[in-house]
Amino acid sequence: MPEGIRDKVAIIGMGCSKFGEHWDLEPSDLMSEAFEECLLDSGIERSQIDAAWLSTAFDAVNVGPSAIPLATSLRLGYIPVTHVENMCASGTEAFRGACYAVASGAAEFALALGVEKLKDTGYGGLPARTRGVTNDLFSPTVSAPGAFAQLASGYRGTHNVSQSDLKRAMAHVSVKSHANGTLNSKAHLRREITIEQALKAPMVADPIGLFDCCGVSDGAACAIVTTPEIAMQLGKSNVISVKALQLSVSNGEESGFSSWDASNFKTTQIAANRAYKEAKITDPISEISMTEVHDCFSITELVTMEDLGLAKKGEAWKSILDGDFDSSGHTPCQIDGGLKCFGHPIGASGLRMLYEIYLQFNNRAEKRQLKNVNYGLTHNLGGHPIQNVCSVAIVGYFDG
Amino acid sequence: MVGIKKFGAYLPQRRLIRSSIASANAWFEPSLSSLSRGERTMSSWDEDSITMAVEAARDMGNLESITQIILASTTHPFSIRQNSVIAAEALNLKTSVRSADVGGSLRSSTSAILSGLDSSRANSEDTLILTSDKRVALAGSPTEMLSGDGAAGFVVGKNNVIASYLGSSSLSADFVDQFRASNERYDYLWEDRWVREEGWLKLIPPTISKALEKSDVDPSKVDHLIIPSQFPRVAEKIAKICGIEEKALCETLMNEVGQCGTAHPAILLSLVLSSAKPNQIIVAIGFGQGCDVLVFKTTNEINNYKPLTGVEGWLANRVEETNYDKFLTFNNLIQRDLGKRAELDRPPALTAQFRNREGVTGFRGGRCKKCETIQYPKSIYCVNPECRAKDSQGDYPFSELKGYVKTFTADHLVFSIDPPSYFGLVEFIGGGRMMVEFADVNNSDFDVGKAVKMRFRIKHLDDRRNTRQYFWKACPVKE
Repeated sequence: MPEGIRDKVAIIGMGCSKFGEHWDLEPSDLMSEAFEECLLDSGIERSQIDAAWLSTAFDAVNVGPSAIPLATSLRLGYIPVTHVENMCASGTEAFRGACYAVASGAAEFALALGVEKLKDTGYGGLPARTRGVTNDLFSPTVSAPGAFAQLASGYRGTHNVSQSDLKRAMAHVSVKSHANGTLNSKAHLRREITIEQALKAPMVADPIGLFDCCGVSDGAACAIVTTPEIAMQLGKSNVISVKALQLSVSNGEESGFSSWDASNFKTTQIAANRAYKEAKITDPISEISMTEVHDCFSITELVTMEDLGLAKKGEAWKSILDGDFDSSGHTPCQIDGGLKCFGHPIGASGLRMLYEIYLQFNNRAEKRQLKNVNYGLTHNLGGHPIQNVCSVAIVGYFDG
Repeated sequence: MVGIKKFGAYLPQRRLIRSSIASANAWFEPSLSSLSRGERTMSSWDEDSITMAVEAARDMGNLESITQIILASTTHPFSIRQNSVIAAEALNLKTSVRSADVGGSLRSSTSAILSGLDSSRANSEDTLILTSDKRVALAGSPTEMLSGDGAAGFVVGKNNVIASYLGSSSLSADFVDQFRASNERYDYLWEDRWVREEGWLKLIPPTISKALEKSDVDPSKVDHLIIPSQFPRVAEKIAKICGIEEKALCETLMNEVGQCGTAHPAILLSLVLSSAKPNQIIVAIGFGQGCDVLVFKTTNEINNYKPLTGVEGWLANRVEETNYDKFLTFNNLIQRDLGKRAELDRPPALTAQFRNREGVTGFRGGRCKKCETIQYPKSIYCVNPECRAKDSQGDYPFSELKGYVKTFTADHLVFSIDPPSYFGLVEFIGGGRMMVEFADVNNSDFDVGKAVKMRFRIKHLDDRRNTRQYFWKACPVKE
């Protein structure tokens, strides 16, 4: 395995817009809000940015194609700007591009910005879209909750867990994130819910009920990265560096070869293992302090705890009910409220997750501040359990 | 000796209880209650005359010998795009197969059988005759009450026939009991009494007599007389006029299925053949702007053939439906708010459709010649991570594979005309898996592990261009 980029890239600034139903804002407003915070935080000038990456997922209801919307919205200085789209991993993809540019020496300062404007469709949930003319000939037409709901039947079938036990654990995931979200002024949904409410919510895609789904919102988040050396020259104390940045993309085995048991994400397992090696982490449970995982639906977070090695196979539902991933648990998950409370403006989500970890590591997370953070992990999943893109990022204090 | 070598049928599983139609329309047309006995078949939104015909053909098993296909219907989905070619590709018939659509009359099915028999006599080859109808009638009309949806199929040819063709007689007369212009959805009907008295009772009996005479069969020797009429007592009167014993009259399935348009005489013939004994005389009639009368005699071979499901099997595969509103919606008889998700436009990509027709319509996947892994879709590199051979896959037919549900959900969010939409991962017995849509799901007993069989269905209706795209869906079956 290649050496990777451990401690070769430092995050010197991050910004995040308030997430929500911004009926009165353009994507450029959201980009500007995140960027202003990030630039101020970084301590550099706009003109010092050498290259930028823009991530979005739904062009048609968002900024449209190409990288031009980022360059024009922020009036960047005719620098190279790249537009990336990799479904729900898009935000982390933009970050990966920026980090690789710095690690390679091609750029001293690189910007990654993700934005998504989802509330211009006229209906709830993610916009309906095609999967391309050939796939549409035979692939089922599905909604996102429908695609992920299949995990629940796969998990039940593989691990012999009852529907009621699984539903209770799923409800716990959502109740926990809602409780965390109440402490975050940038979150979209900021009210607590009860187990009872989660269990009795209207069914969206069996067994995923309304409160098992993350919100849908508009938002933007961004990061400026450079080398740890430059970060220190800029006077940054406690330099926060990238420990691992991995991506795994399904090659069709899950959907076409009968080795996958449909109860987990093969991509997450592969990306996490690679990321742990890159970050030199040998015992994730004791070394990782916090996670921001892709809780598009509660069942996704549940199986992800197993895929990341934070719970035993077939037992995540028990660990969740035991509170292992609550704010007081051994590895708090979605301490900022997660996709559940922020909603999922797709291009922005990966960077929004990093933003929370960045705040925690800078001791700026206000009432939700965790003690003694070591490594923080973000995780995104795009697509369906059966065919998806998974990104895993690990950050921590620079120890080079 | 030419004749029928195989027969099959298909009936949708939903049975709309007629009293539910009558009660919903009673405020406007109370007289419908007089027709409200029994039930009628109700195809799903994703079934049409092509999909039902394909299922009737599959009911006959192996069709390798077929060199000609004729599809008879008065509700062909396409006027330009040969419907029988779509069926032929779904059935993986030889690409050299001759194909024809016939229609225009409720006797197009019997006319198609006659054409097939004539062809086989001339060239000694096997012809696949399919007939199918999904007639849409005006809401609250007697036709809506009395009609049904269904299909039947026959293989006709020379040698080893189960029913030999003895002869026929036809009559062409522009007797307009009903008509439907090319650009219309609904039939226009004339008064029942006239249709019965001047049509069925005057045009058919002399034609039966001629057919029997040509076939050298005495009327008293007729064992099964098939009169596909929705009118009560018409069959008895025709039998009496012709000197055929009343006990020869066959079940009309009016109370169980309804009148299935041009497919109806064929469905009844399929039913009769399923219980007929050797050396019995069968007379089948098609009526519409005249009539066709076909005379067959069963052979000993009839003891050696059974369709896979057959009319009786389909009759038993029954799910009661009392939701008339659903019937109206499925048949586009009510302007329903389908939600904004239904607005997603998916224009047809006819180039991609043609490139992928063997995989999509024919449902052929691949089997790696190196490692034998079965996979869908067929791909350049083998899906087996231990293999990855390039260009190694031969065709592997998926349509007849049985499988079981590995994952599923009932999705209430995604647009479906029949929500919730069921889909999930199916694992095929013997190898291969894929994510598919499910159809005909009864949610009370559907779960992981349930056995499924693949059926040819409409995947997507494109209302903007009035076209449709077909693919295969998994339907639950009894183990």
